[in-house]
Amino acid sequence: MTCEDAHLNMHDYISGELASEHHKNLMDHMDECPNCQEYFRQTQHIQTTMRDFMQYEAPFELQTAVSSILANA
Amino acid sequence: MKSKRRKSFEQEVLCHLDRLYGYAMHLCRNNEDASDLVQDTYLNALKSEKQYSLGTNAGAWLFTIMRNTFLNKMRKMSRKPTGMAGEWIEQMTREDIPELIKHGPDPGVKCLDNLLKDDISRAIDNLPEEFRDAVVLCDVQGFSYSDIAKILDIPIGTVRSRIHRGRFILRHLLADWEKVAMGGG
Repeated sequence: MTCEDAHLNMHDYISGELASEHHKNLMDHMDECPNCQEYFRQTQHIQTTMRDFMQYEAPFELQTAVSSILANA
Repeated sequence: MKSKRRKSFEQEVLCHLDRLYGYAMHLCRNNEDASDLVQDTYLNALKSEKQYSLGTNAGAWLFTIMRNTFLNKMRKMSRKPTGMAGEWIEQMTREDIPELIKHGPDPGVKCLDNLLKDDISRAIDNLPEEFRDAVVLCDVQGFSYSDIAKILDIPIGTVRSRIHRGRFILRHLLADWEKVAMGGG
């Protein structure tokens, strides 16, 4: 596997979209390629951080308003 | 008295409220407009209730309604949601993915370990809209490529390419700011 292929595969892996039969090839490549390993780690870290930071809870007023919309329909 | 179907429908759509509010905040950037958009989304969902089959994918269905509701609002206000794409980002959006990969990886960038919420928000705001939507729906909301294709009404291959490219631009934006913050060039 080339670094180019590894990049394409690692994005799909992080998205949960890489077919399981390709996992081993990707992991084998990263075992041997510190650059791709680091790139993978950073990309995954950005995704996790973004997901953690961008979680919202609907304000109470909105929860009430939506419940009312559904109740009165 | 509510029918069993209506009760099930309400349960299935209500459990997505927080996620919808999060996506509305991403689209509108303020609580007031986001709250209005969420309520309009639920009103439109009720109007289209018959089109929804219970037990299927309520999340993707509601997000599609929210996006269409938002775009209709923007059209009425003659506003176009855009990212703040500079020349460098414009170049990134035009190049082929294999060309982009040649720019990286950059193992020298270690500073991405200490990301702050403001950095992430600023980087996402700087992504051109088409990339921002795909990345947020995938990385924040956790939708599959197939769901994102339905929500954005684009082919699945385009979803994949926008996510790859969007993450690439995001990473480089964050890395560049950190380099400047650390006194680099």
